[in-house]
Amino acid sequence: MREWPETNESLILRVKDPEDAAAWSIFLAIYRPVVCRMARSRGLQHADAEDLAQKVFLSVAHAIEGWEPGVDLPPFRVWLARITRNAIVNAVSRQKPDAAVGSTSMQELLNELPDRDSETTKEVLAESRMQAFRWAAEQIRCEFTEATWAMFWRTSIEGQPAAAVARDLRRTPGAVYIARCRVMQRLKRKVTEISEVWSDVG
Amino acid sequence: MNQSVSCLQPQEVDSLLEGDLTPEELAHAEEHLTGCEACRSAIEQAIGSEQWWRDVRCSLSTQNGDPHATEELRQEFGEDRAPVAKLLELLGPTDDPAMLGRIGPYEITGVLGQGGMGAVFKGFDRSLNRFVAIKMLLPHLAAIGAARQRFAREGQAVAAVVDDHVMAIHCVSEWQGVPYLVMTYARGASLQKRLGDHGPLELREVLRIGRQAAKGLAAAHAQGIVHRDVKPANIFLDENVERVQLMDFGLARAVDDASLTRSGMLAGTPQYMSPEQARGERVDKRSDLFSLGAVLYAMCVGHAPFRAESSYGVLRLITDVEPRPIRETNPDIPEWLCQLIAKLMSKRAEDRYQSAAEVAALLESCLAHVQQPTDAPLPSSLSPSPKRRRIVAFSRRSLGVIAAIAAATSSVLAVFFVSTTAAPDIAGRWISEDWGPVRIEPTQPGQYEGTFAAVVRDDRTPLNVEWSSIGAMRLQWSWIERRYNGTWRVGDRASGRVSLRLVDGEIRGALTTSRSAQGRLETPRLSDLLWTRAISAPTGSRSESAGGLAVELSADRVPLPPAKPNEETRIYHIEHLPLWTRDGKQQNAALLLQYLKTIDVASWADGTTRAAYDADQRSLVVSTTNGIHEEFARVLNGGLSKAAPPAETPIPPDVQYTVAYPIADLPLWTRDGKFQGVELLIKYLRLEAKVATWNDGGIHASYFGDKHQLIVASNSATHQKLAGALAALRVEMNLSGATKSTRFRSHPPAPEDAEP
Repeated sequence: MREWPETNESLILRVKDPEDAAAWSIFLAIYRPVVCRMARSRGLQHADAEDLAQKVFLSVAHAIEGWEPGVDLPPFRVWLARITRNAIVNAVSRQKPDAAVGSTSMQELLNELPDRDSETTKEVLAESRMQAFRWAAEQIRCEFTEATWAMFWRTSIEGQPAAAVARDLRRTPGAVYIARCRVMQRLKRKVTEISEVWSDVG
Repeated sequence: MNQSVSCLQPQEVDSLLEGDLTPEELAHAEEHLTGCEACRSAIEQAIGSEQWWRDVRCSLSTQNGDPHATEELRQEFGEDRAPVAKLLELLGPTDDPAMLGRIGPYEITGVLGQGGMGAVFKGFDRSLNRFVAIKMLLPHLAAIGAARQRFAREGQAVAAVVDDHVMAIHCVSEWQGVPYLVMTYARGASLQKRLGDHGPLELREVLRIGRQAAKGLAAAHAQGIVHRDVKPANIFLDENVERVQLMDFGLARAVDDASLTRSGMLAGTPQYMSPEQARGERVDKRSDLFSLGAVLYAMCVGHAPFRAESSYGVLRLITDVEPRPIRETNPDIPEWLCQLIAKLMSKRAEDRYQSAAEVAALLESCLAHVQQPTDAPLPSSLSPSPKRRRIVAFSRRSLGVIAAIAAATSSVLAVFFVSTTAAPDIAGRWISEDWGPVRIEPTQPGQYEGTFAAVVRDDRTPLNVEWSSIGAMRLQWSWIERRYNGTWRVGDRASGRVSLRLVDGEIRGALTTSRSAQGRLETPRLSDLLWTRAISAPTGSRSESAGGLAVELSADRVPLPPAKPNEETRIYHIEHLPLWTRDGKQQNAALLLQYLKTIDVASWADGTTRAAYDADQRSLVVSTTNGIHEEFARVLNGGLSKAAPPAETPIPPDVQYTVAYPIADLPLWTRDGKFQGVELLIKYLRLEAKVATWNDGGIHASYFGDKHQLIVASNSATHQKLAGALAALRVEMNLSGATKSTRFRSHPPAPEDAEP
């Protein structure tokens, strides 16, 4: 298994526009855990799941070579999201248990169009949306004070009553509501920023 | 005023969520929300539906994610977050719990963005009761006196420019030794983001934004200020009003100085630089006009005019090559605009328009023309006329010359390392999963030549090259990019460029295959490469082992180059190791052991163990941990029989039969056997490299050292081919002595009976 960051870097070589390269790293952040999770939920070992993810992204990276921006074509991210989802659906649906031996030509995986309405496709979409939330939360975490974040996390994620959290942190319930709403608003904005990555806009 | 009883208005809710309420308003809202259930749910709904809140809770609370993946992500993206975290440490303490901290008199409420040179905070100015954007230089850049002074000086100069299309700077100051600029806070996004989100813009938008940017430039130029870094990321589009503002005047130069002094590393993108900037020459306001042209170009097609795989490549395109005609990408752009852009993007400054004001006026007339084609004619200078585009021939200056120029003028280069790092030594033998053995030899300092077996690539299908083809490459150290760059060639069939570097004793990089030469080759146009050093037994340590598989566990620890912590290398002396192959990728020590136990196998592994059989030394060299070494010792001492197994390797279908080809010696080489066909085996046999291999799929082959036999199970066509190849290669062999397994003799003819 090769280390990811390096692969990441060399794959980025293929993405000529720096903005697109930034998009690519977001892609990896969103979709790599998605592949891994889906592969593992299908019984693959960690290393095999990683390997599968590696293959998916290699194939996607190869496909990037063929991409040229054009007026009639979808923007890079939309296009990339689409083929990434294809690659994942195809990869996990045909993956056999003895995944250790890399055999399938990944280009095939890409070229084959998945059934858009299949359960697997839906799963990819749901998983990538969830991953987008996690990614966004990681990204915005440092923009808030510990206290603000705690008020958000304890009420919105852990479901504690606002009054109790307010008592604990010696703030008014109003402050707790404001904190959780501001974080949530920021989170939503961050998630929306990359909606092309995780939503099925096409 | 009694806001604690009156409910929040939609606009207040909006401001609250954006963090745009003043502290007093915020206090009122807080008090009110403590008691008002209706307002609380109104706000929640303003953010998102109940489903939304549920989804967020579900996504963030479950730890059903792959813990490994999460951990790696943390590592991978940890660095990205670090800069902001570092900046936040700079903030002074604040009494207001809703704030992140303080910069001078400003309370910081959030982070608006960050870039290569600094970060932008959202701050609140108590004295004027308004929000401001605060741009702060990165602390490490601020540590350099010259940079700090220049940042401040340029900031003050721009503060003197008052224009609708130049983002106003209210104040330039310093906080804990780090300078910062205070600017108007407005909601909006950069042109860069707009292009990234929506791609090419409509003609009218191109003209509108271009005109306003040109006006901003004109105002700055009138004050003698050159922007130096006009690019989409520095063009701000107001969210509410149709106003375009230029930002970050002159800061590029301040940052160049600073970062160059510090480490030789420069930040930023060179994509919109002018040729004179790329060459490091003196720039004047006409340089900004070139960049403006490049921005217009980008608005028309959705991306920068010059794109290459490295910043260095971009610079070369900027100085030497005309951009691809806009209308090839976007036919909706009228010819007159292409002309205007082409003139702005003239390589020579004197061929461009001579002032930003002129360009602004021109774009204004164009806009009028587009809006009312009949009333407003096109400016006469843009009316259809013969094209006056100069075609500049791609000048084939040597890499060395350009490198020297680039280095001498590095104050404008982007993301380059300018240092005199010596070229690392890459001479020697290398192996990889996807390549044959690679041999690299130095020719002169910083230059190497290499050979490799042109075999297979990523999809593991052999290249369609003649198997006589051994590839050659030339590499040259680029001390700007700190990589080896060069070319590769397989006969006259294929060629391309290669770029690689030495990382932790491994060679990593990428190669391209030139499209023109691609022909029958099924190689990807761009692919990764990773080579590890072929490990070899140290000289003079050969044991006096008897024949067969006598094993001596030499305790000498060999300082192999890529040995990792906790690893040691031992040599298992084996008189001869038979041949076997399999995908080396997933092979681990357990597998290798298994093979040693069962089918007298030579292989290597990656992951925790590396092993190679050195045919010269007849040694198996293994790098691995102690525990695995012990197990090796047990297996080799105990379980292995000296006799080769009968020449009846497991043979699949009955259409096959087995022939043993006696060969005095077969060198060892390994790689992914998965898709290896007989062609490939022949290729390897022919190589100079000490190579042995086997494969599965079409054929099964094993080399039995003690019998000097290569045993191959396959069909007759393959056998014929192999026999022919071996004969042609004059491999020392005796075909007449070939033994045939009777069991599988269903398909004659035997090789020696084969037709020519």
